[in-house]
Amino acid sequence: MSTPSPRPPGALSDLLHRTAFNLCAALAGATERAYLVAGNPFYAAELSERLSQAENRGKARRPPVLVWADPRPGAWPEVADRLQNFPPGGQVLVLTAGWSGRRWARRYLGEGGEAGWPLSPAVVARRLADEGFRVTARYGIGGAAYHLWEALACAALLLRRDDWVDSLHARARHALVSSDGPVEMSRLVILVARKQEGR
Amino acid sequence: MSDEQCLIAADRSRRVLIHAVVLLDAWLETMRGPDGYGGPVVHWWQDNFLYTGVGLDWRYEGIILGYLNLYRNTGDERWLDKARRAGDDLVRGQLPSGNFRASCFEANPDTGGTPHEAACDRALIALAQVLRERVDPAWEVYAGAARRNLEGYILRFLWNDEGRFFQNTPADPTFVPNKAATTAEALMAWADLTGDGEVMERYVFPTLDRIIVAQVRSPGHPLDGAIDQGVMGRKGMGRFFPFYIARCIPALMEGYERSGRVAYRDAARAATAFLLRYRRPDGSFPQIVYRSGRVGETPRWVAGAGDILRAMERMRRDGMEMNTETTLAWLLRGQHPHGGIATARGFSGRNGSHPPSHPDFRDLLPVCGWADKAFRYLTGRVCRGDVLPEVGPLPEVEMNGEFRGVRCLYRETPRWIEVRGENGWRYRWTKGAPWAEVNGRVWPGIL
Repeated sequence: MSTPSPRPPGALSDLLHRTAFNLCAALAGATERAYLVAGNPFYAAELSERLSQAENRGKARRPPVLVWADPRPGAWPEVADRLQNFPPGGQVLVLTAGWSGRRWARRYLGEGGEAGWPLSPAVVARRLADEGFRVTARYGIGGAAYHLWEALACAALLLRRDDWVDSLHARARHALVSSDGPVEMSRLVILVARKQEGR
Repeated sequence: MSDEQCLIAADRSRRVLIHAVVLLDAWLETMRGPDGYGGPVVHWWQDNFLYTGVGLDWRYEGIILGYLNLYRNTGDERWLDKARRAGDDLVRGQLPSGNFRASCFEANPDTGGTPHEAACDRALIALAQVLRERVDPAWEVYAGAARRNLEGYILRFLWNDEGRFFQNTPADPTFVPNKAATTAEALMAWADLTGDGEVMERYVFPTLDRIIVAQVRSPGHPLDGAIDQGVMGRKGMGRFFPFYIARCIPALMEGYERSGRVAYRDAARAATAFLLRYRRPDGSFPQIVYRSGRVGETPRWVAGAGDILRAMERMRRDGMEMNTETTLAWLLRGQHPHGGIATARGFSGRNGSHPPSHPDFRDLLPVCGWADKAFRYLTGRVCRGDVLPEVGPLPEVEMNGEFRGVRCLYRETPRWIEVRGENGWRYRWTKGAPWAEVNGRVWPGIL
């Protein structure tokens, strides 16, 4: 399932996205088959490369996983179709923009945006619930604490305190991922949902 | 001490060293997965606990060159086999572009990592050289892989022809001396292998000249001899890392040997003097010295001190007087009973937390891409006639640690690494698996 990355070698994805992609792959774990539905080619390439590494390693059979990245409204029929066939315990991981990510996108891409903005975490959770999936974990990447430390690092830079800059960047990186509190406020959000018994 | 006592002490220290080497080799074996050496990564810049698959990055430099050291010094073919097996990992993992997959160490599984791919080339060329000396035609496979990377990526995308230097990345025109030094070492090895002297004039000497420009030369000043971590245009970052400075020294000395240009040797000597000025009484080195003179003491590399020792040893051979034993003792004290070597000491101090009662989990965790530096150095000290015994089953290791002020238990066996909190395991990697397992709530910093 691996497709070539559109990035030239040596051009790293940013820390937030790289962390989100890696976390998706780790959460998907060793599964017999990981399905991927991605709303843009960048996400598709990065995630397919990562997910392919976990496949066919002779691990114990585990329930299937679907990764829905950059969930566009138009992709819902395809996703719903796949999820219908999932057995109980089947898992769906959704990588989408959180509140600050959507705000950032509106600021830089305009209010109208492009057709089919990614669905918000709340909307995705409702749709998944309708299909019998319950959200079991939520992760925020680039939340308020991360941005606070990064802002302080910028201030330290103005004060020419390189040692503070480094220390504050380190604190920001430690606060990069959160699973507590209002994770939906983060730049990126990962929802983990499992299909319930009897659905 | 009498002569006899000296001999006994020397014999004992040799046995300690050989024991350290065979244990470290055994631990490295446990870190191999289907595609090569894997495992989580901790680093000053950032950690990578999630991706645990093979990393075709600078870990292969120390691993291959270490096994070649053992082969040369003992004549035992099993070490050459291991070097070839590691070389095969690189050949198998090479992309059509010439890049190696997952070559970004702390940013894995991205590709195009610097200085990682050049470090892999350096190791591949050394392997090819050894095989060619044995008239083994396989040498061309490894030389070919290095050539594809050098021509297809490093010279094509990293060489800045206008400025005559190697950039940090294709998109980042910062000159990073330690990375450029690794590239220069790879190109010098390439020149030896192929007899292509043009690379010296065209790429290597301009690179070494530029490293000298990045060096502080102000006799009597505490920073005299320090080499800046990065230079953008004419502006230095003002950050001086002893570890990275040490990685510039072998290239400078090799340049001096080939060209007779005394400036390279002077720069290497000044850089070494800087390292020795900042060495702590326990043999360790601070992580970073800032332009302002402020010192970031932690984390202090333990396994990574192997590269500093290698640089110091090189300069001692050049006539500089220094004691390397305290730093060697610092490194060896970091070896766990299972053979892995602790990555650092003082990671928790970096985040401004109170002095912990237990070491940080990241300190304890052995990482292939740091242990290889210790391995390369220690194997270089194995002498002809040394007998390297087989080791028995490695013991399980269990140590109390802390992470972000929370107590944890670090456990490692030949099959997995685990971090346990009060409510069960929080982080687990089954060795060989490409991704770690994530359990419930995030432990800030681990994810």
